[in-house]
Amino acid sequence: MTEKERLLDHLFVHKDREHVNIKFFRAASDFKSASVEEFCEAVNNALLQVDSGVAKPMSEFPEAFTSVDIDKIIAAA
Amino acid sequence: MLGAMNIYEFFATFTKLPIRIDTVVEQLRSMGVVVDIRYFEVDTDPSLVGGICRVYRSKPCYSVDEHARAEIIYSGRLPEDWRRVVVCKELLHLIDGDEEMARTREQVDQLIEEIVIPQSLAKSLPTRSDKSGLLNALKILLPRDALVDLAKLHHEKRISVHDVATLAKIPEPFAAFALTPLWRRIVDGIN
Repeated sequence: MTEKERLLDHLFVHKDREHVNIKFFRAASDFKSASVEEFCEAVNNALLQVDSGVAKPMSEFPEAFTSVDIDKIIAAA
Repeated sequence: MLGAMNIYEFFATFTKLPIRIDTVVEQLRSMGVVVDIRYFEVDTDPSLVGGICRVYRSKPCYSVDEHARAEIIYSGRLPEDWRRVVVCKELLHLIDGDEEMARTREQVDQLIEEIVIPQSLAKSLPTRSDKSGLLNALKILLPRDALVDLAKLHHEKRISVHDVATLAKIPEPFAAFALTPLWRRIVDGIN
């Protein structure tokens, strides 16, 4: 079984889930070429981390900063 | 993308920086996005997989109700500013129209084949892969009205590109691009 087949089976052969949508992002894709198999292996690994519980779910994206109005930025510049 | 112009219009008038990801989620919710959103930080090489948006429906055995879940997965190896852009880009997929979704096995197969095409080549091809997704995230994380003021300060040499990136918490190449006349024409199209 190829990594792509493994990924597609993982998404579509799930008796208690109905797949709706999936999208991917690759950083700097112009600088590092990747084969379909390399890419799918990386996606399978990421989904394994999620589905196995190794990666913990967060209900909020962690951000620790205070937003500042542009007027204060202008005054300080 | 359903309602995409609405979300860009909404953020265009924002003048507080940085824009919080939670604020983006609040706006998506107000537009009718009802899925349960969960974020996951994974250990992946971001040049292979920097982010994933996976949406599915499930019906747990103990429940009679169907449950819609969106998983926003990002590489923990990305710097904070890149994480914000990637997560914002992935969240925007929650308003994908039917024609933009990778819903069937064949559509996901096609997306996989396209995602490995270098960006420079993909620009000239009609693909399902969303190479412009990051720029859509930029429209939100560096809103038009805030950018107008920052561009003026930059033009007067009172702040640098690095300052703009720091204030908006976005990667410096995005801040540099946002200060170009080309980007100005793009955001001026947001009414």
